[in-house]
Amino acid sequence: MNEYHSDTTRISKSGLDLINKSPAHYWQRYLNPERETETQTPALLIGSAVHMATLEPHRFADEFAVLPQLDRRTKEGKALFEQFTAENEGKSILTTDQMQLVESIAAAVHNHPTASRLILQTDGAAEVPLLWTDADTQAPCKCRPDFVNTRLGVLVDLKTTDNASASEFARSVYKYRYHVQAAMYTDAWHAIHGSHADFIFIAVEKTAPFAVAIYVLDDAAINMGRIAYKENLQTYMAAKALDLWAAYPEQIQPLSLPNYAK
Amino acid sequence: MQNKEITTTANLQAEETTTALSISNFDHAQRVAKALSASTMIPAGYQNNIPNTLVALEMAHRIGASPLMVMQNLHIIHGRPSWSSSFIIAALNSCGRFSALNFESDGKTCTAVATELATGNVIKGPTVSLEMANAEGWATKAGSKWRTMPDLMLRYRAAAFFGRLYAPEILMGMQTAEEVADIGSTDSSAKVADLNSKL
Repeated sequence: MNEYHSDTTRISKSGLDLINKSPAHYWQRYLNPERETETQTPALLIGSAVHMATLEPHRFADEFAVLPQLDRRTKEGKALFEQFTAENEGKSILTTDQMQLVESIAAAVHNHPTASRLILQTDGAAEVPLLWTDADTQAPCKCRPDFVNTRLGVLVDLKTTDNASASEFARSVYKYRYHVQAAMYTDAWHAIHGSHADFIFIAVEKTAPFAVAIYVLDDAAINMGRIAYKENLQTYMAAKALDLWAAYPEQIQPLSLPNYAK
Repeated sequence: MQNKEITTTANLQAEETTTALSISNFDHAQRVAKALSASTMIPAGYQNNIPNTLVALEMAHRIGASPLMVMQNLHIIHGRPSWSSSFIIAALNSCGRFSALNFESDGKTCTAVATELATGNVIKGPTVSLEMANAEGWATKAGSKWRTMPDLMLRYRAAAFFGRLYAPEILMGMQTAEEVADIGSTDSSAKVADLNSKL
């Protein structure tokens, strides 16, 4: 897992999101020799726990541990805590409340008739790294689909969300550039395997009743995503060639209100 | 048995020289489709698929071609029926209205040219260019043939444009398989139906 993340010779969709903001933001996060190590926020921790509990439940106990409720102000509580940390060194620690949430979300996906079939362990594999060179820009790229279902020929991505309804999830797709991810990942699959694989979202809500919806983007959205990631790759390659990781333009720029405010 | 099937298909075409399949001959066509779809000599997409075979029969009837030829050249791309480009060129060449299609190409642009036999006039289709392919986004799609075989794609597209303009009855309003693959589908219902059927 760490090997994939630490490879900065290839750019991922997360890297392109930063390039989309500015090359300077990408440099700060991935290339600055004095960059700070990424701190894991509770949201990121729960997100990765949900992915593992849902897609690789057999590995969950190796990577995560649940801190039992104990009073660390007491001598006994302190001793139990020390014993717990010693026994679970290297693992990510979840509180019981966090674990309950993770279990609820994973159960919602596992109990969903369609979602459960998409991520059937016997039909594919989770977290498969794909490494390829973009034919248009010669940019070395990497991605890691949540689940590759080889029987159905689809790439599956699990998204936790506040609202999995079609109208709201479409907004999330645009806001978080999931259409860019879909285009990049399907192109990666095609570049490596020479065949088409649809990109399917399993959207699951983070609060009860943990409703699940499954979506596939239309071609228009994929095309928009493709144009966006190819432009980002061009910017990345230009910045890399010049070793010039600029932020925003230095000149004064015109500014208008966004379209929705007009 | 096989001879009987062929005779039946031929009869179907001979008897129905006007329009599409009607209620009266639907049963007949369905029996023909059932027999044809049982053949292992037809393309896989039609084998044991009576509805698809029925559609191919109807198409063949409309343009006066053999059902087998239609089945070999009618592709379902993004859930839509579309002709292979080579079939369009063959149909234009054999329709009797034009000389064989020629192509004026400089590697970056291509125009389909033919002589109208009745008048002797040389007619040219719209010019297709690589610039157009880039601007329309045809060349930027995953696995696009515009990147690997631009000369052939220029000719195919020029032929499709020529046919659409001068012989629309051959294309029957349909796009070529290459056009559908380039332009894609803005309606994802076919894709969704296909995915759901696999589950």
